[in-house]
Amino acid sequence: MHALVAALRSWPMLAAFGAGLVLAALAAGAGGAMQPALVVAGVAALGWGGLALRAGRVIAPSATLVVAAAALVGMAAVVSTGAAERTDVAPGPLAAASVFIVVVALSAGLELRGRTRRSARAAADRRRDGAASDTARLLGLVAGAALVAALATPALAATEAGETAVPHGTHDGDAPAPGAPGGHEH
Amino acid sequence: MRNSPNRIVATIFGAVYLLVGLLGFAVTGGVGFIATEGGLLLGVFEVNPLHNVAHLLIGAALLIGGIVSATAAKAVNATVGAAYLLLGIVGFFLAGTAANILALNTADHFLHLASAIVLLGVALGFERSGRVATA
Repeated sequence: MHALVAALRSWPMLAAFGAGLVLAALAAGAGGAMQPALVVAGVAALGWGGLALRAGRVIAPSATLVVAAAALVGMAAVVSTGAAERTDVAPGPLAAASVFIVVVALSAGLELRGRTRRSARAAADRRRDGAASDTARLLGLVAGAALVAALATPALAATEAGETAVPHGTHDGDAPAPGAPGGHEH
Repeated sequence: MRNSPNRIVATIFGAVYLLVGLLGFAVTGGVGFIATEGGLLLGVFEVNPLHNVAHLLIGAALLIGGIVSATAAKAVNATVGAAYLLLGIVGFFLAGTAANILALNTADHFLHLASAIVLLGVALGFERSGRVATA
């Protein structure tokens, strides 16, 4: 049980990375006021993910829960009112970003719940399991990264930035028409 | 080595990237250095010679960092991981321009994204200040 908890510990942070990447990609193709809003949301998600990974825990859980809930409500409103279509924000990637944000919100909620139940015994368990949990954490990190990449990659491809991506190895600026198959380059 | 997640990840990823870079040259004979159509590595990953060189350089940096010390491994992991993610984000805003370096929805991009997250994650989340393994 402790190994599983250790393995899953980094997943909210990885989900925040996924949300940040997809939101940034959506911002690149968005119009009007949507673009700065998505840039701010994307940078905030990436920043939160980095800081939380560094801290080794869900940081500012109350504020995180409020902001994540507000973001989810805002995204639902943007899609339901037709604002997403008017500002060239694809609903598919937005849905993928919302999945990542739900993971972050859940982790913040669990962290808040845990604070009220946390005992000295749990802290002692964490210290005892320190070395063993490093392996579990590492395996969890690899599995989490694969899951995030599996959801983020098609979501990124469905954004305007993804659709206009240049085919493999192209550097001469002859970008394909939107919708043309993309390739890869470093 | 076994006590340092950063060294383990840097060494494994470095060896894999080096291997991928070397194997890449086996399937890119006759392919232009930055050709738009490369050879298929393992039948899935499209590569060209430029791609192979990038894989070799990244693999060498990671492997050297992993062999030298935990501090070096952590630094290389963070640099390569952050560079990959930053390159992707900057690429979103360059799509459709001459400076576009982005292309998505391919098997290799999936692996690059996963690699970037693992490398950055292990660098930020393991062996934080004062806990870097020296063994």
